[in-house]
Amino acid sequence: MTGELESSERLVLSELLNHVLDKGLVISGDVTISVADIDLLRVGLSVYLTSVETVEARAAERGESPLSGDDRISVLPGRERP
Amino acid sequence: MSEHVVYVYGIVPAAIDTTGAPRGLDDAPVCAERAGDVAALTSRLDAPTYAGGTAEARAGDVAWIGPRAIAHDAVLTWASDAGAVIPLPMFTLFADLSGVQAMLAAKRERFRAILDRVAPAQEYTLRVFRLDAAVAATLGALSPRVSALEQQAAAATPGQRYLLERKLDGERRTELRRVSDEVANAVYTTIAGAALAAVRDPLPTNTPDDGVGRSVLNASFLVSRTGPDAFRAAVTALAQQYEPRGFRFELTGPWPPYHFVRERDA
Repeated sequence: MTGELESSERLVLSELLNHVLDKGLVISGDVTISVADIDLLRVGLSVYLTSVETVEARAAERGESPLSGDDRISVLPGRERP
Repeated sequence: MSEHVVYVYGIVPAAIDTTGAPRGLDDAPVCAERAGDVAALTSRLDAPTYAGGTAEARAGDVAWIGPRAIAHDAVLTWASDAGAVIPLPMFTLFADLSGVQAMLAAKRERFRAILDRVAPAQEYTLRVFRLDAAVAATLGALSPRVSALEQQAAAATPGQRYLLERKLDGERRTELRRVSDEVANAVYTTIAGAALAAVRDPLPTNTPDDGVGRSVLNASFLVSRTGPDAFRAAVTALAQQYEPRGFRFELTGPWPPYHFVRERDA
């Protein structure tokens, strides 16, 4: 499935995983069921990031720098402001 | 084991209206579980999919975790656009709503303080990469030592030049690391000055030199909702300064304040 993702989708997913997997406030003590095996999550992430960065390189070769153009910021889908 | 578990995305002020909230994980509706002036954003999910080690076993599978990560973030981004939110990491699960209520009751004051702190801001993440060949080609501009050796080599006799070139190769390797650390520190310090708070994440180790660049900075910034233009301008100015020297900038956001809600971040 990941092989079918567009490069922009891969970039978004890579950043998403960076943010949602082990950031945020950890609620300890009261959580009845939790996923504590962050190492496993990180393994999957690091493998994934390697392929993401390859896609980034190809985008960069084509001049698709996230900071090029008028709006010099890479805006994630769904994050555009009116 | 119960048939369902309660998934908690984050903590928000109790006044939130979830009418316009996006669907959550597994397309489940998102509800607000209120306790006093705070609320937990929750979805009821099928227990067998997540409990008993199932989620751990599948978490490395991007095809499985990807849509769930997107849904998790979509709910928090919606909440962040509406106001203050404390993001929780993925897979914060409770057996039932009474567990959520007990958690809210126990931590309400703490949540209120964090919500007040992050309410006026959102998060941006900056990643800076070093393209070795490009940085090496213009290293003299950032490294006086390399610049001096290059000038000596250019003026030297062929015999001296050979020795100087070898010395220069070693010097370039050392200076490449020193200069990129210096650039990363300068970029971080400058941009942190345009933010309410800033934090650096550890860099990935053993990143391959495959043409996309080695990571030299991975940092997140808490930026005032009223001041993103000044922040973006600061990033853009630095990108314009360092991209011609072989550094690649990648800025994303605004994000919910994922990096700024832990106690140590206070």
